[in-house]
Amino acid sequence: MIKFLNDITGGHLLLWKVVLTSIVFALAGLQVAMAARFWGGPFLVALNPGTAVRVHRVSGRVALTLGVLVALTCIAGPAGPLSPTRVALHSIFGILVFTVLAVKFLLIKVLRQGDSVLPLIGSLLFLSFAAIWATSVADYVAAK
Amino acid sequence: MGEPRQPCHAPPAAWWIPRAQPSRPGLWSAAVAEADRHEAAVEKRASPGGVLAVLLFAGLAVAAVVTILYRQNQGTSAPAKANTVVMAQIAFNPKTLVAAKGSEVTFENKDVAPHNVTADDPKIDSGTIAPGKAFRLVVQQPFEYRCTIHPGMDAKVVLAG
Repeated sequence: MIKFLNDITGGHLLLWKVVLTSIVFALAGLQVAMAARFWGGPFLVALNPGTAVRVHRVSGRVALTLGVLVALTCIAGPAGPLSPTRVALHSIFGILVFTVLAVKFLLIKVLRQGDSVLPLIGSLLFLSFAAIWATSVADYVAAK
Repeated sequence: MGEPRQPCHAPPAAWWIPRAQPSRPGLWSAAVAEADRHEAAVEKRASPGGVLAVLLFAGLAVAAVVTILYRQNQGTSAPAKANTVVMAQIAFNPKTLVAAKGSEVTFENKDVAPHNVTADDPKIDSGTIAPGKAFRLVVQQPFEYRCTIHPGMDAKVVLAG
């Protein structure tokens, strides 16, 4: 599968992952800004709350779709090593992100409760995405 | 006579029933109350998409953990043979290979991911080496090389003597 992905990306699979991960991270930032708008936090963006909700949902779906694609290429490809530390942290935060996402969707879409912890979950997700970005893309750019 | 009643063919509980008339008595208010109960029940119900999302995300997390645990015991620390570099666990092993000038060096990909052997010298470029494949090279000079697919995966070949 990884060979196929490498072939269709002209041998630039890692570069594609870097770009997609950066987009996901940027969208995660947008998610926080929009959520702050309708959760009564600091208003970073002058939007009405209804629009903020729609932007939050659409950008969230895009971010999660891209995130799942990148995660699948990681699991099918290089996942496994726990050294150096950067790689171990990358794996831990990757697992953490999907665990937290599972908990979030369990609360809001299945159990229909736990609204009060959503800001905490959202903040944790954003920080985890930041850690994933820092332990992969930042290292890639630094290596260049 | 009591208050006028709404006709018995009042619309059933559904979205088109006006919600802003909670004080109307009789069948009409009963229909509204039934609609509200129905709506509340729908809001409490788990969404199928939500269940799928939970399964997808939890599945990815579990798959990652299982993959890491499984691969910790796979394709690691293959004993280095003479003039052979093994690619496993996103690393070249050994990091420094000592080879005689004019000897052939084999780069074996025993990893689950594709790699390549790329040096600054454009003549040393293996292209993508799929898992299970190998790349051979006659060494004429020392060189440092890396896998351009995986940052941080680098090593070097030095000449003996």
